[in-house]
Amino acid sequence: MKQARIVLRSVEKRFATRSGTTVALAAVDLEIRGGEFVCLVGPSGCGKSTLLNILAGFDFPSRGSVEIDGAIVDGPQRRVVTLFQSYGLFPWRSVLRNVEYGLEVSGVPRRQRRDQAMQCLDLVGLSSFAEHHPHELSGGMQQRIALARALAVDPECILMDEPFGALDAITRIKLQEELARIWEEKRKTIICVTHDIEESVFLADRILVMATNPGRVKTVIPVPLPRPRSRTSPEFDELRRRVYAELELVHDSKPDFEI
Amino acid sequence: MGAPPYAADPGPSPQPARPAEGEASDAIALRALASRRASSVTASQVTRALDRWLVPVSGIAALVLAWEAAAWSGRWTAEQLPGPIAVLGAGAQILADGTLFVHVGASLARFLVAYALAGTLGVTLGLVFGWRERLWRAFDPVVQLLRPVSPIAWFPLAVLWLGIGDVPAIAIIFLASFFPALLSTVAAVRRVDPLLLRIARNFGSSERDIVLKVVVPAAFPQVAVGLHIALGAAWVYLVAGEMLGARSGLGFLVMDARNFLRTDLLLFAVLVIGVVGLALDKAIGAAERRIYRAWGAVPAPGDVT
Ligand SMILES: Nc1ncnc2c1ncn2[C@@H]1O[C@H](COP(=O)(O)OP(=O)(O)OP(=O)(O)O)[C@@H](O)[C@H]1O
Ligand SMILES: [Mg+2]
Repeated sequence: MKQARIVLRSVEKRFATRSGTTVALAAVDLEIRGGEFVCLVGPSGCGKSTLLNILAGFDFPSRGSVEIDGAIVDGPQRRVVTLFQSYGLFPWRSVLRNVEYGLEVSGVPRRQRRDQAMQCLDLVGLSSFAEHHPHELSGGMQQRIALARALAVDPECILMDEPFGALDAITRIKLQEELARIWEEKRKTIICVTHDIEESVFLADRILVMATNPGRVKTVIPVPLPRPRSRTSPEFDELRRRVYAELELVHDSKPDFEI
Repeated sequence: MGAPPYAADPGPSPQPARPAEGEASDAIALRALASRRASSVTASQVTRALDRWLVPVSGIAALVLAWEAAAWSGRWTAEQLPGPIAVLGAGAQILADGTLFVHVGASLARFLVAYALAGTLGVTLGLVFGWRERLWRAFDPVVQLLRPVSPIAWFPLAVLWLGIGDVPAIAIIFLASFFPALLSTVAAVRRVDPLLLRIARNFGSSERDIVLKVVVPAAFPQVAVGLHIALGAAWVYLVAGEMLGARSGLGFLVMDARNFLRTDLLLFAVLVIGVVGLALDKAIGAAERRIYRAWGAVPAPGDVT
C-alpha cells in the first residue's frame, strides 16, 4: 500500500473580491510524510478550506506548487479523496451503491466492486445497512458511509474538511475513535481540518496551527502521544492547553486585578 | 400517506353468537373473523373516510345541482343549456354506438405522440443546455422570446405549413408541452448540488459518467415535476389543436356537436375532456410519487394526503 508524500512550496492563494484582493494563503511551505495524520486548526477564514481545496485539485495556487508523490497536482484525482462536512452521498443510490461509486466509474467489474465495497462497509461497521438509502441513516452513519466510499478506491491520501463538524459530541467522539482505528489499520495519509481542538490532539501526529490575515501556518505542534490515546491523561491535557495557547484562546498573564 | 397509521381502537366488541351445533369449524372461524373486522372499524375511522370522500364529492354534487337549477330556471332553452340527465343521455348514446371510444382513442393517440416528442426533446435539450452554460446563454433569449407566445397564435401558420388533420394538432400540443419540459430540465440541471459534482470529479468520473450517473438522477425529481406541468399544458391545447381540421378526437367532437347544435353532446364532450385530463394527471402524479420514493431523501412536493 502506497501513501502520499505531500510537498507544498511557497503556496500562495489570492482571491479577487469587490473590495480588493484577499490573501487567503501567504507562502505556505509544508512537507507531509506518507501515512502521516495531520490536523489543521485555526480561526475562521484563515484559509484551511482553501489549502485543502488546493491539495484536492479543486482549486489552484496563485503562486508556488503542490506535489503529491513527486507529481504536480493539476486537478482532482482518485488517489486523493476529500470528505466534506455535509457528506455528499448520492441520495438516489443505496448505501452499497454509494460506496461502489468510485470503483464503478473506474471500470471495476461488478462482482469485484461489490466485494470491495462490502469490505469497506464492514470496516466502518455498517455492512448491515448496505441496502438502505442515505436518508434512512443518521448523520454519523452517513459520514461513515462517505468514509467507506473514500476507502473503497484505496486512495493514498484522504482530505477531510471538518468531517465531524455537523455531529453531536458523543457521535463525534465515537467517529474519532473509529477513524483513529481505521487509520492505524490502513495508514493512509490524512489531512483533516477541524475546529475541535481535542479532536486534533486525539487524532494527529502533527497539528498545524494556522493564523489569519494573511492565511499562513503559524506553528506546528507534534503530538508524540502513544496510541490509542486517552483523552484524560495529563500529557493529553498539556497538549490541548498548548493548542489553545497557540490559538490565543487562553491568557497566561495575570489578571489586572487581585482577589 | 403522511398520517401515521393510528392503531384502531377495538372498542367494546360483542361476543360472536354461539354457532349452531354441527356448523363447519371453518365457517365458525370465518364468522369470528368477520365480527372482529366489523368491530375494528371505529367511529373515528368512519368519520375520516367520510371526510376523505364526502368533502370532495360534495363540491361536484353542488356543481351538478347548480347546473340542474340553471337548466330549470327558464333563462335558457333546453337546446341552449340541457340539464345533466339529457347530457348523460347523449353520452350513453355515443357510448353505446362506440363513437366515444373512437374519439377518446384518437385524442389519446395524438396526445401521446406529441407529449412523448415534447418530453423527449425537451428533456434532452434541457440536459444539454443546462450542462453547457454558454450554449444556454446563446439560446436562452430565443426560448424567452418564443415561450410567451400562446400556441393558439401559431394556428394560422400551423395550417399553412402543415395542412389540416393530425399533424397541426400534434404540433400545437407539442408547442404547449415542449417549453415546460425544456425549462424545468434546464433549471434542474443547473440546480444540481455542486458538492455532488465535485465528488464525482474527485473519483475520476468521465464527463459521460458525471452526466449519466450524477446529473441525470440528481435532476430527475425536478424534471418529473416539469413533465407533470407539460402534461397538463398538452391536454389543455389538445382540444384546440383538434379544431384544426381533425376528423376525430374530443376536439372534433366539440366542433361537430356545435355544428349540429347538439349542446347535450357538446357538454358531454367537455365532461369527458375533464375526466380524461384528470385521470392522466392522477396517473403521472402517482408515477411522480414513486420516483420521489425511489429517490429517497427528497419528499414529494404536494405529497399530502
Ligand atoms: N471563492 C472565493 N472567493 C473569494 N474569497 C474567497 C473564496 N474562497 C475563500 N475566500 C476567502 O479566503 C479566506 C479563507 O477562506 P477559507 O474558506 O479557506 O477559510 P477557512 O479557514 O476554511 O474558514 P472556516 O473555518 O470558516 O471554514 C477567507 O477570507 C475567504 O473569504
Ligand atoms: Mg472552511
